[in-house]
Amino acid sequence: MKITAGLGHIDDYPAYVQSGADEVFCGYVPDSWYEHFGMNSPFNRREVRYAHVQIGARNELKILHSMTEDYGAPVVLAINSLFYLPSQYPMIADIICDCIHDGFTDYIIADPGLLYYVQNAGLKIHIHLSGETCTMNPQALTVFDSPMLKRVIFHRHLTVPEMADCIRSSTHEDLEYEAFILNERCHFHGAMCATVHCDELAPMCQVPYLLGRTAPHNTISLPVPDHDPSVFGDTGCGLCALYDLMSSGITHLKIVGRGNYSEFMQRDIRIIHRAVAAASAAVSKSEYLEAIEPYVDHCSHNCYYPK
Amino acid sequence: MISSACFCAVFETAHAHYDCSPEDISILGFTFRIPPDWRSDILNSRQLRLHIYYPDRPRTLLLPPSLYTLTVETEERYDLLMRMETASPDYAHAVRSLMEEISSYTKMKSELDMSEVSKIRTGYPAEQEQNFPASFTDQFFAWMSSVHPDSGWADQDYSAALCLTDPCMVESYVTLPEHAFPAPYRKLAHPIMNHIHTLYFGSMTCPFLFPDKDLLLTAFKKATRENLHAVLSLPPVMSSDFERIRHLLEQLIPHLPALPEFSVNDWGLLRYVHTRYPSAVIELGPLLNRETRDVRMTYLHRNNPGDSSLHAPIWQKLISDLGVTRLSAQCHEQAQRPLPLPFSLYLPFFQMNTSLQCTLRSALECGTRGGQTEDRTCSSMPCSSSVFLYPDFLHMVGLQNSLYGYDRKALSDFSYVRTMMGDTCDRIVLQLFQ
Repeated sequence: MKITAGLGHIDDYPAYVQSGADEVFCGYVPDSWYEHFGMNSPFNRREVRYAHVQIGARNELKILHSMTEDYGAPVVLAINSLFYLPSQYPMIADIICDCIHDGFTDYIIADPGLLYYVQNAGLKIHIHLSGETCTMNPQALTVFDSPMLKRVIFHRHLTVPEMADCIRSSTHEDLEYEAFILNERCHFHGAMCATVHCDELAPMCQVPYLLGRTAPHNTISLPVPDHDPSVFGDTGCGLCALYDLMSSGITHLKIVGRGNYSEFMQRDIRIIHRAVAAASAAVSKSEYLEAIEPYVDHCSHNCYYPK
Repeated sequence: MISSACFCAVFETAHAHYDCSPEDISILGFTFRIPPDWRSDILNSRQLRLHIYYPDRPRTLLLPPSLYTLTVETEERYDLLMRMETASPDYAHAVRSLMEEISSYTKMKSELDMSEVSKIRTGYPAEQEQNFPASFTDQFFAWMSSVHPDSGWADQDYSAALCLTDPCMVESYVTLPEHAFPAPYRKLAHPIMNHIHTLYFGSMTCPFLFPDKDLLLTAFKKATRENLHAVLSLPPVMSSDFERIRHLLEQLIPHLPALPEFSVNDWGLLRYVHTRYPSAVIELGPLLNRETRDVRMTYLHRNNPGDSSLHAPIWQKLISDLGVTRLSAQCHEQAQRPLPLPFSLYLPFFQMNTSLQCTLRSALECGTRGGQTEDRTCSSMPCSSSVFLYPDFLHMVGLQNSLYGYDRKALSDFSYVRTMMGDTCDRIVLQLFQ
């Protein structure tokens, strides 16, 4: 089982690989996109302007590729907005052609229209089907099956048995399967979230609310959780489920973290790397759980795959 | 370090251009890194184009080589670090403005909570975030009381539908006399109620609100007697729910008076329905029509792009291959222009986000919306007695497993709705919750 880690800056790439990442994924937004659309129409699922959550312009893309030739861990580019405007599809195809020219072959895609577009355009790329395509059952996966499909990324709302069901049902040999293992869990489903994520407004899931009952004046105030990204797994963790994920046929584990502090990401990668080794060596889940106990100080109780 | 979403330097030669994001930046110039094979072209570039992106406007600055100098500072294994220096007052002014703007935001973000940042940046009324409705009943009553039924809806020619979104509503419908509709529809004194020709059965968001076979059979038969067209609304489903709903459809469909129309919100169910019932009319459900829907859009002052993915020929091919002949849209202030196929327009509520891990159940059982368990079954039906209430000014509510915005204009101003309908909307779908 391999680890794929979110990258927010090219200088972090060597450290992430040395910490145990087998692959990284990142956002690259070419200047031409900002020139045409500004921040109104996001190119990927990082929609902020001030924070350093994407790698830089094309100079950095090329530098990053030359790093991969030495370090060996491939880089996957995220072009994973939920939707694009009709006029944007040809432009995205041109951008992908530039990225292919620079040596990038693998892309995370979430918009069904873009999946169809790149297939019809005959682009020679590998597609990582984003969990936010809204493919949550084996039949949905057949809709987007294609020779270009290399990997299915399961949405974080799927349980381990549901992922296993999808893997068992697949007739596509050699397909890779990726599950979320750490950070940025949300109780809403990304594929069905139509709200804005921007610099000016809080994410919709953090807007204050009350739990209301049918009877008037019977409301309960619930705190909007204030998670601390400096604490391992505090914003979402699937560490306990890692053994089950491995047994289910998951081939890649995603550590979310484009824009996270580099030190936290390196720590996360190191711990998951050790946990993968522990899971590979363990003969039972209980043995695995015992082995990982010393790795983390406390449980965040913010489980990706709760029991 | 500055994000490339704020600043990009484009070095132009006769045949190519080289996009560079900066490392450090000042009013006297900036440093940047390049791959070694760009060196010659960058040093011999004939123009430098700077794209500076302020929040409200982009600015382009052109500098001829006479106004800047380039030097190589260091050479590393993967890149060269270069420095651009200039005495251009235009450059200094533009960069100073940008840095002030970024510093201002960064300071705000570190010192204030996000709602205060929103207030300063957009006029978002953060101080009203503490004003909640007493209950959804009160809120809904207030919203309905503000509807002006004479605002153009009375004398129009249109066909309308009602959504019976949960088993209780369907159960209520089958027990009522002919041509009577369950609460909250029966309480709605609005001209649209004189145009009901269609009923939607089932939730578009929650697989556990799908009525059982016997109830659906009775409901379909009653609808047929009342000469009402019936649509089966299918939600997004995980694999376990897929089999349950597939089995239910297999049991139900042969006993129905006619093959129903389907409104499908799941790719897998879409493929199944099209394959199993190739002659069925299939509507691409509202959840599969991807767009931005957020009650707070008004504070962002963004231009509405008008188009959606569904206007793209590639999307039309994709859904045509899956047997879709109808589309759907939701009524809200940033809505798309009319869709290119016959479509249903849902109002006055519009879906903003949905969870397939029940947030209400989690809130009731664990005190947090994020405390789900692996057990997805739903026996307690928390949505029948609980909702998430949001500050009054937002006009939104958390119902069932979703957050919905309420479009205040929808039922009060037919001309507003008419614009969204265009020539292709042939059905208005009224969706209310109890």
